[in-house]
Amino acid sequence: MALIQTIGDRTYTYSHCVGSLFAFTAPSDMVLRPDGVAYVVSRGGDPGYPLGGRQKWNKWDLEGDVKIVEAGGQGMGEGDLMWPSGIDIGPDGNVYITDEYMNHVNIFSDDGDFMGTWGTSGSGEGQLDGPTGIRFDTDGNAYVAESRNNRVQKFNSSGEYLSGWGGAGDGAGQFNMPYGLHIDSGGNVFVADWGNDRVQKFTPDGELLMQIGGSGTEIGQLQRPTSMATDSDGDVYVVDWGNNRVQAYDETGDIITALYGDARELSKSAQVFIEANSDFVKARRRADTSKEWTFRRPSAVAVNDKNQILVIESISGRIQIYQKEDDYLDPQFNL
Amino acid sequence: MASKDIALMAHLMRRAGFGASYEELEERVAKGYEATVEELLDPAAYGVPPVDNFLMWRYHPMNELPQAPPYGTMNFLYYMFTTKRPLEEKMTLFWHMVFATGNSKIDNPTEMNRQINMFRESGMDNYRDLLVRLAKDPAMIFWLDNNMSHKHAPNENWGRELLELFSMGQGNYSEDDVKMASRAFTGWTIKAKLPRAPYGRYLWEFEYRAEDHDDSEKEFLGRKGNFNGEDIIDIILEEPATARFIARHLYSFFVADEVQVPSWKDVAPRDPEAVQAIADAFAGSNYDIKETLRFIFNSDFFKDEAVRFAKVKNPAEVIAGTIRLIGDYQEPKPGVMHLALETGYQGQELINPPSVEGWHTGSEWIDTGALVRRVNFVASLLGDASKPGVRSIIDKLGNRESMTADEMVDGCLELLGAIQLEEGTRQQIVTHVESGGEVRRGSTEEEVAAFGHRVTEVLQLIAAAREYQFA
Repeated sequence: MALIQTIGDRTYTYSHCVGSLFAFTAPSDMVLRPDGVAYVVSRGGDPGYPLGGRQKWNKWDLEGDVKIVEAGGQGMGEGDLMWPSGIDIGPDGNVYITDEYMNHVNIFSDDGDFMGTWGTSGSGEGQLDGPTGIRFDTDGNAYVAESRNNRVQKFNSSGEYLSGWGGAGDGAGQFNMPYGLHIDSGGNVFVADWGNDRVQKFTPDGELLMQIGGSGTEIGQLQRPTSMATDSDGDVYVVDWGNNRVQAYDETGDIITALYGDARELSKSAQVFIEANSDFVKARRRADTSKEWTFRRPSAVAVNDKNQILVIESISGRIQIYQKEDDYLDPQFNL
Repeated sequence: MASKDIALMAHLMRRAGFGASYEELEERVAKGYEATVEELLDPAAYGVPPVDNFLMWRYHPMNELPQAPPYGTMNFLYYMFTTKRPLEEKMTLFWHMVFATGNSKIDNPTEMNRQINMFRESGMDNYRDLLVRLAKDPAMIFWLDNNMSHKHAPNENWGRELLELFSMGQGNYSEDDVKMASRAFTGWTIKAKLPRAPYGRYLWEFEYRAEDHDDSEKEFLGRKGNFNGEDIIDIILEEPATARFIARHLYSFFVADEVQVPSWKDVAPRDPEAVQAIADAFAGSNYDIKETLRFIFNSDFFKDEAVRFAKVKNPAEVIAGTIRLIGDYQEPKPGVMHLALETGYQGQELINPPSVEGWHTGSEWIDTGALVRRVNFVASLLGDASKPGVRSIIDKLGNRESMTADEMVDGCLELLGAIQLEEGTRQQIVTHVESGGEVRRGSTEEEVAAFGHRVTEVLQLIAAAREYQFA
């Protein structure tokens, strides 16, 4: 691993990391606000655990590495979460969270107050079975992937059904337990076809444009992809969850490189925790900390308007941040 | 299909697995007994897939590197509920009960998971290789203090338990042998580990420190040499006591309950000839565990009707067997945590045995509290007609428009896996059914529901019977 990777005309520089286990508990999805706030939904532990499953969503200040708002909580009542999966900010500024077990979308205000619910359980048009990824397009319509109905549905901002596509299988345009969802600047829809180890790209109307990946561990291949994002150049970042990496592809789907995680220093919030516990400081000094650098089950990726690539990890509860450089000048090789 | 074939297959699946639905029993009988044994022994060769970890981790992300103990148990239970390789999982449980390592001291369910997985991977391979892997297993090293055993200050905990509980049994070695074994394993330790926060658990790593190993001459079980750990294991395997000790464990786990391990040096085996035959098969195959299991399951002493229901089910068998019978949790869903805690309530907190001696088994599984807990657990689930396995039993019995009370009770016993009740117990249930009037399936929704209720009531009464506690 290197802190700077130059592949062809792309250069990725590792920047820093944010968060820890205490910030996010098995996070499953993340979206960004342009002012440097991450919205993260955490799957938590088994909801049956009497000590609390820590299902939640929170707003995290990326600069200060501190929590702004935390909401949710385990349960099956109003505003509770069982298997929270996807998160996005709606056109009304509210926060929309899919619940893969409850088969609905919970709506919270930006301050974390419960506002209402979308969706009923079923396989008919507009019904939900296993809702996972959710993203709003620039017109305010929401696309929702469903792991058990194996399809994508499009709703208007009030939650009314507009269209849908997909079906169970491994053929073109079919899905096997789809997970995350992403909409690029052109309105095209990327779906993490989790069980088929591929990403499929569709027009807003569901016409298949491209497939990325294929099963395996080689560079360019995928194992259970969970999330995608695109940068301002059109490059596509895919979370290769099963292979513990994020792969970058160009807009035609050709592989560019893979990121494996490079967090050689602690996040600010993690540093505060360590410094408050002197035995942890000592324990870290006797151990090999290089194991900490790499991704552990990355689950979601997001790209901000500075072409920074943010990767959140399900096990470590951490966000690692890379900068895609515009004008990087590589030093002489035999320096 | 002959009922005796079903009864034998049900016996095999209770012992070599966690029971089976009637449909599975019928399929396996059609395939044949020996063929079923072969598939159980070598599932990969028959294309039987392992548990899909990715599917589990997607829905239970904390199971992968658990922070809190119940997630470690959840991981183990998920395998027991869903595996298509039941003997592999049963052997995992077997070794967990023999090489008992407890999270109470390890305080790291991730490492316990790793050890359990090692049993899953190697539990049917070669016993020597398994012992070497065990000696290098970080959880075991920490559990028995081998990381505190140094060249000039050996700790005898691992050396003693290796001989006493993991291979030869009491009475077959001396205190000097314990000291020598302990010296031979000095330097077998664990690398310094990262703390559990701020980013969660990282797997521990075995480390051999040559500078901390006592390389001087040792005398162990009559042999002299500059022994290291693997030499000790090789010498242990040259001793006939080792094969006999593990054979008795295998007999007690798969054939019929034995007295508790500390009594073995004083009390003869229940069936000395069978235990010796297992020991001979074990040593004769150069400690090939799979070969030994093949011998056991195909032996007359295993198939003998006298050993059927001669074992008290351990709580893991009660819970996993019931969940598999009713067809629940075959896909990920919330709530496994309750079942993980239930193992402890019934007296077998998985990944946390009470001591290195493991759990006391047989009739010691049963006390007043545990018995009530077991009966209530099983009865509540068998009373739920919405569960696919229960529904299947109701539908099968409902193939006929009417039946006698005897036929209804016998049908339930058969469909639960050829369960045998003492005649007095059976007759009490028959009398109860008779008190409810003629047994008819009916045709209206209310009549069919009432029939289903009567079936589940019989299933619950069977589950409450003393005999149902036996495997």
